[in-house]
Amino acid sequence: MSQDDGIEDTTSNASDDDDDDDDGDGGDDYDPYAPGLSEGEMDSQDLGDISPTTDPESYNYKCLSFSDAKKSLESDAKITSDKLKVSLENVQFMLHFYFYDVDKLEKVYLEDSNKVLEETNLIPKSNAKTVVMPDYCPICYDQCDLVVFNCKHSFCLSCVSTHIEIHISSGNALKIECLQCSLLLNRHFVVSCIKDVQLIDKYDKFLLKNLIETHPLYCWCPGPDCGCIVKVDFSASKPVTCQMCSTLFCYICKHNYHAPSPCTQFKNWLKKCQDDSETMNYICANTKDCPQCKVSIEKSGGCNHMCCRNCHWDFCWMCLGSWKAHATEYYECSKYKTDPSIGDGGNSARESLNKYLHYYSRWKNHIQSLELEEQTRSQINEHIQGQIKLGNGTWIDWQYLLDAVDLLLKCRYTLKFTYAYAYYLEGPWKEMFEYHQAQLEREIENLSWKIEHSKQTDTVGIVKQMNITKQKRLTLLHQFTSEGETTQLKVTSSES
Amino acid sequence: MKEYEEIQKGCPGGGIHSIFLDEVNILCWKILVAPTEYPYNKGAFRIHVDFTAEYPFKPPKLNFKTAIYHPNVDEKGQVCLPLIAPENWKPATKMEQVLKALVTLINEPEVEHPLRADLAEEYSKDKSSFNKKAEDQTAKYAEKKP
Repeated sequence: MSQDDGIEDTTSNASDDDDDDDDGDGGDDYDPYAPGLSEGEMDSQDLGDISPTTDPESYNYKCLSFSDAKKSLESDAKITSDKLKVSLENVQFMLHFYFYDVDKLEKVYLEDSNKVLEETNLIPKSNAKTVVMPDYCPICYDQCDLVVFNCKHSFCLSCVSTHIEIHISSGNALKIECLQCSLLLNRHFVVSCIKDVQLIDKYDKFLLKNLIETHPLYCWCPGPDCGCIVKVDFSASKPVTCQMCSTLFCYICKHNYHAPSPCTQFKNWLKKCQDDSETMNYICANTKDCPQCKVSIEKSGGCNHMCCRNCHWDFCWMCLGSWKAHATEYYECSKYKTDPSIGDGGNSARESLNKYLHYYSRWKNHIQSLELEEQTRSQINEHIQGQIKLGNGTWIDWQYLLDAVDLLLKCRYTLKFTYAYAYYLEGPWKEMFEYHQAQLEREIENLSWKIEHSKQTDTVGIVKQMNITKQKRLTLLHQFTSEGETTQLKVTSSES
Repeated sequence: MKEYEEIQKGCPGGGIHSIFLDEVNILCWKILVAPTEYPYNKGAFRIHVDFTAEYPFKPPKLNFKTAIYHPNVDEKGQVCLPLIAPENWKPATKMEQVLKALVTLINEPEVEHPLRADLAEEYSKDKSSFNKKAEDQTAKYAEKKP
């Protein structure tokens, strides 16, 4: 799994890379010690049953520059172009139209080439009306030299170029049509109509952008201001780390990588968090359920004597006991009581709220822990530098500690997303998942403790803990990501 | 643009609408449409056509100034006419075609692509109730037929 080929566009294994997202805090010293070294060794030695081929996070991708992506797209299209004997440019249009289903395109094209060309609007429709060519431009009514398209519609050059310019400046380069019908204007024609070199440049950029946006195997890096284009071997919800800006993202949804949650679920979770968090916090802070009828009540005034509007029960806001008993001994309520009689069943809204809050608070908590571990990382970095200055070993001797923090970050990152996943789980599979989740959490805490007390703990202890934690994380991912879903089916069917 | 005015004046579109031009602002046409079909045939609707500076390379905008009970026209007077949607617009499309399409749309609502889904549902499920309301609203808001 070593990736020291030294070539710019190295195919990288994502599981080696995805701790790069914390880059930046680590300072310049971090990068030369690529995680490939230590992790690569460990993967082969210690992970035994999880070989790189079954590693659920292994994913082949390339980061390409603009011109490389253009070349790559063209060389893809070249094969089809040679086979069908159609110009490269037209093949790109057709592939786009057929959603890059090369086999389907080739099959249909060989059956009826005219039909495909018509469908993709590369040639005029055969049933189109015959056009009577006027001697003036139908747009501006000027009598001047006219440009005649293949569909026999004709316009003056100035109108045609304005039309093209307006399309380009609105970001559309792929679907510039005749001014009257849907015949596509190809690149050759478009370029011949515009004089402005900058506009041609813009056109080419948008053309590639439009092509990439619809191509299933290419995508733009979602990192801010990063113009990098990622090419993958197959489209899947796997981690990609941009080699330019180190952004870690899921190839399918372009959000933060979110294993073990599937994309749609993660999206729902995020939406839920955004939609609900404020309301939920408010409900939690300002409402209680009526102890009698379980309706949610918002406390809007200062008095603790509540009268439920639903069942007219008088109760105390503090202890939720009957108000009658309070007439004389009000202040008893200021004594702390653990978990008053709320949540003893009955109110499903409150229950689902509690369930959500359970996962949400843990999710939030891990986001915070993650931030704190980033701080730990920079502290450790400082500590190591201090030790080296004192002559206590070299960078190589201390490398394991940085690796350990990186692993810790990576595991916490995954752990964070397990809560989004668990929220949507049901049944026996959930129990199993929570078992694994708890195990991973325990090992992570162990590792975290050992790192924080690295002065007392020996190297062997930490390295050992690293291996355990790493394996736990991979086992969890292995069983509960898409590859694991087949196992899930087996488990549920055998249990039912 | 000038040529357009002449064309429109030359053949006022089929006798169902009249077009008033603002001499100062030729980028806004004020149109009176008197539909022929029930339930809208009892009155006339005022519609503004706004042209952008880029016209005819960008489509004109239609706006109902008279309230109409119609699945394809919303409360603000915006119309959903596929012909003038930015992605479908062809610079060679003539205003005559646009107005013809508009009249057709008023006469025969398009329930497949409604702007007001509730009206579309009523139109397809309970037509008599829809017609009644549309007729009442026409009587209430629409102008007298010229």
